[in-house]
Amino acid sequence: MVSAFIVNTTEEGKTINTRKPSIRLGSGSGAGGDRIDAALKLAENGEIDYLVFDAQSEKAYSESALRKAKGDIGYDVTLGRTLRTVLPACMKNGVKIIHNGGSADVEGAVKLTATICEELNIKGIKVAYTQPDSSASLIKEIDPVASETGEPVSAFGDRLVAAIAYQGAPLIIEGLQRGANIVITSRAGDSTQFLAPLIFELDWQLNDWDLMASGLGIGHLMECGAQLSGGYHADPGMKDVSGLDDIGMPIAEVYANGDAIITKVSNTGGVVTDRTVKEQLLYELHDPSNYIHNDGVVDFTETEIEQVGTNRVSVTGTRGHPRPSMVKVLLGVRENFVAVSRAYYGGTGAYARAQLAADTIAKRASRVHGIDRSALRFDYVGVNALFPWSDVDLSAVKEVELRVSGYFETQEQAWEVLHDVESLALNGPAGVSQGLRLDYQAGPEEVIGLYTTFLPREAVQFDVHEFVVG
Amino acid sequence: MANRIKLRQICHSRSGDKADTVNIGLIVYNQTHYEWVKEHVTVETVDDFLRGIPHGQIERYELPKIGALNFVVRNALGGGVSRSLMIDGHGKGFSAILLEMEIDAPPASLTAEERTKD
Repeated sequence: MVSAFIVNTTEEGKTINTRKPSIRLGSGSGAGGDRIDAALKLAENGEIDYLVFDAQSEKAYSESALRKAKGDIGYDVTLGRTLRTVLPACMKNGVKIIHNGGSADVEGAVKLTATICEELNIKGIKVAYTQPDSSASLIKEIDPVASETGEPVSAFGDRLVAAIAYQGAPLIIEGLQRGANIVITSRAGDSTQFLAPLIFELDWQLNDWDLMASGLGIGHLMECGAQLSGGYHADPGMKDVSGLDDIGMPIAEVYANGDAIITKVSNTGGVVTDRTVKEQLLYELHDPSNYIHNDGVVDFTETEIEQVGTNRVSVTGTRGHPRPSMVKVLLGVRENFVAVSRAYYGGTGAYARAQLAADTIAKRASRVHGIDRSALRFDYVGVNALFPWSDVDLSAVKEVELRVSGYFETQEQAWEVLHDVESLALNGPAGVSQGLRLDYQAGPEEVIGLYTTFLPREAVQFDVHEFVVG
Repeated sequence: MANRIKLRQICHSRSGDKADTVNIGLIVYNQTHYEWVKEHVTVETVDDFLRGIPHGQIERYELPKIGALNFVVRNALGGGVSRSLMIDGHGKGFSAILLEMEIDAPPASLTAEERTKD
């Protein structure tokens, strides 16, 4: 624990409570595959107590579940690279690691961790992990209604490939109480991963809803890594950010009363300003007074964000409400296949030729391959693929990417359309450009659709296990 | 006729996805513009601005302490990122789109204390 006796006075003369010990949390990744050199700098120079990795997103879990279903790696595929890189510095600096990349195969993730510790000759560390929870069997037993379809989960039949409950802070806290250096979960909520060490270190009570909300609010800001410290922010001329190639990962210095200072690793690129923090507060937020998490409900309507120094921003005043009685469960359902392909047109009339190519693909899909037109999507990149911009002169467009995508019942159908896009070179409009095969023929991908349902909190049981390396 | 400006001249923005819903946070650079933006950037005006792309119901939430409005736009992401065919399945580009929206320019009296910090 870092003891701090700094008094931070804001511009309005308000004093932030920094006389009590603080905990420094570092955000090591905003998603699986995030920059590993930035995480290493955080472990080495961040002077942090905990290094938290968020490897989950709806999409990432979907991908893990699909890999697992195919008998491949069911945990975060970047877990090995992460641990190999940061473990030596974490061990040297006494930094504990919390990681939710266990995904669909937590035991596999723990085995990998043990192997890496052996490789690096790291001994005597304790790994705590959550056993696959009971939600899959509970779902069968209770058969709750899926929120999106309004029908019982059983209606998905054998297309249901995964059911996993979001895990709350108590599991991570139990791992920390057992003295774990590393805690790996299958699907702890992103914000929960930051809340749990605060509860453990600062002796917060699980029913102190303002503190739960403060910790979850900090977690919400931190869970996307560099998005808090200059990433997804730069807009040259309006919001300039230097050093995007070396953004320092964010650090939250959290005090016992729930106040926090957001900062970043020193001598790095990026920036922490009231603007970056306000933007991230709004990220993926719906009702700011009712942001529901497993461990509590966050109310951001009274939250204040203030620049208190260079790359130092205070976050205070977050309020909370009691946690929900139901636990959210993420369902993964096999759906169909998607495929994407492209052709490029240049010069005068490029847009008209791209439209003719699209029409050609659509007609063949329907007449030759029996694929309904509504299953296909055509985007004209450079014209209106993102938005029908009102101020684009369509006759002046000199380069267009025709992006063809679609849903297909079978992989074979998808390949028919991919081949048709390829053969535009021989059969389609004039002046077509295509090069790298990967660009237009990467092959179909199976879709795992994501749905949600809810289970009573008391029904969902998790076990925490531990494993000592060496 | 009043002078028109693009929102990007007085606001910054961040957007993100949750399933098939995109939320677009809109933040004023200068707190003195908050009430003006709140008055001119409404559920109705945003709904009209977005009419060229498929979307469902829109809700607006206010965060006056940080000078922000949060627009929650349902059914806007082609089914959500796990299955969406849209280029912007994560919805992160909606921030740049909303900043293109035009409103009446705020009166000069409001802009007088334009922020010069950082």
